Amino acid sequence: MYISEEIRWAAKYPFDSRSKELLELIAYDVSEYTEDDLRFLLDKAYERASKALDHKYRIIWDNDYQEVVTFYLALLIIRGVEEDYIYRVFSDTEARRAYDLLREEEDKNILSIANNLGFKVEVEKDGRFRLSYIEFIKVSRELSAIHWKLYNFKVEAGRVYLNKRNLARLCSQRIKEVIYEMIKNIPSVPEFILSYSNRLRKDKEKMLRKIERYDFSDMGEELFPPCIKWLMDRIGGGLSHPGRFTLVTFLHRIGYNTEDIINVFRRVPDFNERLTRYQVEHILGMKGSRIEYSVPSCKKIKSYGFCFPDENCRYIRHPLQYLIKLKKRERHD
Amino acid sequence: MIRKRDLVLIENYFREYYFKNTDRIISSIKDFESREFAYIDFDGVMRRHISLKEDEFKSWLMENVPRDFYHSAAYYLFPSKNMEAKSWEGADLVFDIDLDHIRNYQTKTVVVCIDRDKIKILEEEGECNGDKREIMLLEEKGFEIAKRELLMLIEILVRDFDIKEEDINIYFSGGRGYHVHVLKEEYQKLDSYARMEIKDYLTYDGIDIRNIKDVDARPFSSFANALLKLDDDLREVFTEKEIEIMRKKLEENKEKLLMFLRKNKVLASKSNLFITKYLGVQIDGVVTVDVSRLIRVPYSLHGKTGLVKKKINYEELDQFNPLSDAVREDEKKVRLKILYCPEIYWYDGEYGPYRKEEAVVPFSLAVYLVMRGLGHGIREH
Repeated sequence: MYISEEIRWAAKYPFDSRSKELLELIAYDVSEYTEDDLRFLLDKAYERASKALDHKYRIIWDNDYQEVVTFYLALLIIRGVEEDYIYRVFSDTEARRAYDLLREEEDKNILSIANNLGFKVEVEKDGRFRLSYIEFIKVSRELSAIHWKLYNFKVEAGRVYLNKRNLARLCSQRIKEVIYEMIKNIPSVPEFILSYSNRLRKDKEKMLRKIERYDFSDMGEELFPPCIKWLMDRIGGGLSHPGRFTLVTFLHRIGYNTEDIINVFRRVPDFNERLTRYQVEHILGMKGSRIEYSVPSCKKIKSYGFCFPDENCRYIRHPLQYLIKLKKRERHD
Repeated sequence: MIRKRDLVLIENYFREYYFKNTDRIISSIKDFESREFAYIDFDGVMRRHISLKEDEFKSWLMENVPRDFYHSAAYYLFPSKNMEAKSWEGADLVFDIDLDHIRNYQTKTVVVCIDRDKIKILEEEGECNGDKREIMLLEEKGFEIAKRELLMLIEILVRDFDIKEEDINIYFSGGRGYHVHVLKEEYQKLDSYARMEIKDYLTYDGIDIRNIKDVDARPFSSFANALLKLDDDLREVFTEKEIEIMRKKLEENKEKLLMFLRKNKVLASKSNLFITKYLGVQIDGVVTVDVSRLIRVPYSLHGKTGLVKKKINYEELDQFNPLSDAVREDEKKVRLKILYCPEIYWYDGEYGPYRKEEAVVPFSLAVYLVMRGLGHGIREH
């Protein structure tokens, strides 16, 4: 294969093991990117990193070489921010980019990517792909659960049948993890890269503040607003639809995953796992974005009939503000 | 209720069985010493978190005769520690088919009235001043219905999941159904979530036909098949007209039907209902999903039936009838005062119907009747 084709490959799929080998061959030593004639690459890498944090990426570019190098430099810049959330957003965006490219990829190429990611995939004559169903179950759990349930696919002789789009989506899930690991595994970041990292951190300050504000993972049930507490206490007697909806969206928003939420509902004496799972997934699947499910506002909750305000409910319009308020107070104490 | 003397005799019958069958039990449990064991003793007390060594097993059994005997589907590093400290290393993939969880089976029962020391059978509307109790009865019909589900389960395990027949261990549960243990290495490490996916693939729990990605996906092709064959159950959910419309679409091809259902909310949700209710395999899903589940020990005796949890070869499944084939091989007969027993084929022939009379019956049938309060006064024959 020609070197230009190899570079083309690496530009598209820099996380692939084949690309990593190539990079070692063609890249300069990191410190050399501070030289005047190469510095523009660092600027481009900064741009890539910064855009990625806004969920933006491109799938058309003119210079393959630059596209490869900016990826690796961007990894370093991201690593220098020292913020797990930033690592994850970057990995997510880059994985989306890979998904867009893979969807249009030739069969043999997507196959090669899939295999390098550890999927043992075979191609059918009709162009469909086959993947071990156990393997499928292991990765599909990270995806929106309802659509990716095994029974929505053809399964035969231990293999799930996938079209190219399905396979690309599964790959991108794994790619996200691979890129995240690549970032985490960088042992240290050179000084001159750190200046870019610091700039990036400053640029995204607002975003970081927001996450911190919305990180409720350390808040226990005793801090929940009264309406949610009321619902939790009444799970056993069965909840109305709005009640269930409020509780599920709230718990999900503060970081409970589907399993955690289902476990909460296990307190019901005649707990029906099938039904609960269905309802929970239905509620969570109703709104698209992973970051912002809408928990009903206080006004809505009042109209549902389970608003029992306490003193912390003053001046707030949304149950999540209750947590923010308590968090703020905690900080001032 | 159950008389002490009867219990002692039953316990002896169990002890003698376990004395002779120790080795068979050991060889039926893979990785015996990594399992947690549990049992209910003849005082009805449940004991858990027991670990056993193969060479001490027989003497343990003689000392602690289990009325009902269980082992964990899981393998642990420390089986006898408490749940958090056991250190889970994997678990068999287990399926439970139990008549309690089968929709189209109406359990046969008898209603009795217990008034202090007297017990009588209540016909449709007898007077009862004491404690009225409904007693479940075993019957062949029930086992046949359970077997249909079992066959569906095995077909999917083999065809869709590519599990080899030799890795599928089929057991009569000793009670009202069947157990399937898959001992294959690659399933052992699966967590609850993965097992849930497998369970859902069998039961179609939570299915939404609009999310089907492939017309050859099992729930959809089974549904198309039901339409094609004009399955009787269709009429439980759909009107004649609806069935006709769907069949018309299907006659063009499966894709047309799927597209049609995607756009038709009412028919889609009716289809979902039909698929989960009538096409899914009726297993007790919790057993499959729970990775630290206790399950009855192979070749142990069931405390309420006296029957053996016996392994069945696939080829013999068709002919298998628990009430004759799951009785211990060296069965003996005893005399019993019977309050009530419907006509039943048990072990070697027809018994009953008995009403307030003494009869000679196989010991296991005596266990079954005594444990249900339908008989007492076991005596040597």
